[in-house]
Amino acid sequence: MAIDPPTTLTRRKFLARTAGAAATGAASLAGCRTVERFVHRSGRKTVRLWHLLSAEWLEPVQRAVNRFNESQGRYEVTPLLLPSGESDSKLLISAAGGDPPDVMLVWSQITSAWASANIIQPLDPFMSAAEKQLLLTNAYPVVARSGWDHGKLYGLTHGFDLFVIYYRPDIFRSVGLDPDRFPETLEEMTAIGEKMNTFDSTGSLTRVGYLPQTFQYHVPLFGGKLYDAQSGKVTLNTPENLRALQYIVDARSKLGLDKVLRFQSGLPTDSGAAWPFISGSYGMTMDGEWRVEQLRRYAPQLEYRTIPVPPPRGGKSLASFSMVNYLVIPKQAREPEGAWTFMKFWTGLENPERAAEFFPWYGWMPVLQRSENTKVYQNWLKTVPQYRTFLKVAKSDNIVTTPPVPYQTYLMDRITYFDQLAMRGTLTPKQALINLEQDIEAELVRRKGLGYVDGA
Amino acid sequence: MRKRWLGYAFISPWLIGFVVFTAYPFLASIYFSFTRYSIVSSPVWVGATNYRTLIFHDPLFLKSLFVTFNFALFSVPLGVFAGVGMALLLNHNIRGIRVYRTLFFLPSVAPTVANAMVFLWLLNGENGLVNRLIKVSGHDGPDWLNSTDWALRSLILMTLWGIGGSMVIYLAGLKDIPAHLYEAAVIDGAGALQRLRHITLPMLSPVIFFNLVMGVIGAFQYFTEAYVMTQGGPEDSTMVYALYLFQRAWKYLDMGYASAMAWVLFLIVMMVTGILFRTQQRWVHYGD
Repeated sequence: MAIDPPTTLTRRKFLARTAGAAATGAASLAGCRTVERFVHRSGRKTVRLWHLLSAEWLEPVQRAVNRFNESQGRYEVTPLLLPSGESDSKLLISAAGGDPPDVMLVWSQITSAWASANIIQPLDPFMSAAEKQLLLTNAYPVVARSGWDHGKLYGLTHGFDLFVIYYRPDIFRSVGLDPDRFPETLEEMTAIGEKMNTFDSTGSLTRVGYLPQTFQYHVPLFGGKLYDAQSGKVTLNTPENLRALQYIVDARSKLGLDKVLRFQSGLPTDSGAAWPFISGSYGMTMDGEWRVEQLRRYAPQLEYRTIPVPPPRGGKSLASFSMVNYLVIPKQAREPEGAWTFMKFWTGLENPERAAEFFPWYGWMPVLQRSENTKVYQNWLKTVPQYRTFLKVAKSDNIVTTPPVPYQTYLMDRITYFDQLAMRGTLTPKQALINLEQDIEAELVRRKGLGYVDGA
Repeated sequence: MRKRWLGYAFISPWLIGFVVFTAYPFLASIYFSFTRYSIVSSPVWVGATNYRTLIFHDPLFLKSLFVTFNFALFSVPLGVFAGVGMALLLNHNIRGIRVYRTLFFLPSVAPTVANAMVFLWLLNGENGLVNRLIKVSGHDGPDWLNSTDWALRSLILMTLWGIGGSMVIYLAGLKDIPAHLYEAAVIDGAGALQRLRHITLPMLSPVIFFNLVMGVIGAFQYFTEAYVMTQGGPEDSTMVYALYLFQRAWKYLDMGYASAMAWVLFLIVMMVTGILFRTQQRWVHYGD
């Protein structure tokens, strides 16, 4: 790369650059003014919405809220952005004080815990038979199954994450691979990933072809699950789950556990424009659907493709773990009817065709398949063809979610902990799962001792 | 009589604040510690079950207690040694000493979370400044916050960043030592080390004792850096007691259990402080 010779900064140049910067700033501010703002309408019942959608997602929330407020004359939704790290505790405090919001969007997989603690109320009394029918028959399978606890719906899905493979054709070509011929099994994918690994002169990893991470993301691929809906019990130490964990540990061990840890700690933050996939730190990586819109925004020139994670031999295709975003109504909400009216509007349960407009704003999957089939959504898909992979996986039945048990937060924290122990080589995968199971059993005993019924 | 009520009226904002925000929650938490309580529903009396479960059926409780003792055992003496040492160095009348004092005090004023974020980068195993400096000497530094051996040590070492507050107190203590004691010692032929051992440290011992007690209390309540930087990991190696208590209360909705944990912590801190007070007769000199 040619380097420009250093130039002297004259007063004229300085003034010109300052004026240029000022003009850019003014233009940016002017641009900010075009952002849609909240419009207050008096004489309506206020519905307070708490949500966590910041940064590029904040404005779409405002737009959706404005569409709702324009659409009818009874309610007015007032949105409030909360810091995601503190949102759960803020809701708890507001509920304890008897003044919670009317509706809240939550990211934490916590609806069962909150339902059993009487923090949120069931949505069934607000839902008509037709709406329930639509949810159960037209929503994607994972949506139709999520948010239920003991036969009642406590959380209406607003968005859900799925995980597929993002890969870089340029890196494929650079190691002599054909990006049009993607491997058909996880084992083959791992093997070609090894060809993409690069090291510096000291032996440190500088690029990893494919680095398996997070136990629960791999469980569905191996046909495993974390919860048995029939018995209502969590399933942790199973042969399928063991295979998933063993696969992760083997792949990382091959690279060197310490090298992998150092490589990961040297990567920039995982969000937005700094996502290591953009800088080429990974040739292939498993990640969620929100990256598609972020890539269009932050790296429009980047050549990349998406594909469902190939199953391991004997595993399941079109399988993924899913994190679900829910809309919930707290127990003491003042306007639960208004909250439900807004929830239906926003998710598309009231009118899937109209709501189809909202999802491209975020770069998310719709809740109902009818929304996907609309012209507006299909037009958006043409601009981001990589997104079709997620919609393909969304129709699959091989999706695993956080178990709907009252101790789900503790459970997921301990899964992460024992996953870490295995990935760092402190425990063998088998021992990690045995210990995990014992840990959860001990927690159930503890809860039983405190009088929680059925672990609840 | 009227004057007395007037006095109470003037301090009433503080009194009301104290009763509502400190005394009531303090006393209420005793009751909650004997209940199953999720903050939203009414508490349900469970007797001593929370305490029994904590001690006999919760390995993470014991682990977090061990981590906290470990943290206190190293961070408190380290803070005392470094604080006294810094104060001694900054007690010299050299040119620009006020600037040095300000510079060394400054980090303790910076917000804890901001410090934690900066240290996250400084201690990054691959790109952090600390390891880059170590690499200059031809060695590889540890992966500070990702290593089970080093994560807690990193947090302990980080506490040195905030010793400016105690350093100022030590400095004030040093200024309070009568100069004639040193003059007499010099006339008697005492060297610098002898003066330090037989005059400075004994005369400074009440201040050291104060900082020691405050340091122990602070160490047992240590939370913010562990919450921001490691979230208790890796492998629970930095799962300090207050962090686990917080998780039980706000993540797992076990306010009753967390209250019991808070009371166990309170009793431990009282016990350790009591032991320190018992030992002070042997080494703290009040000059009487």
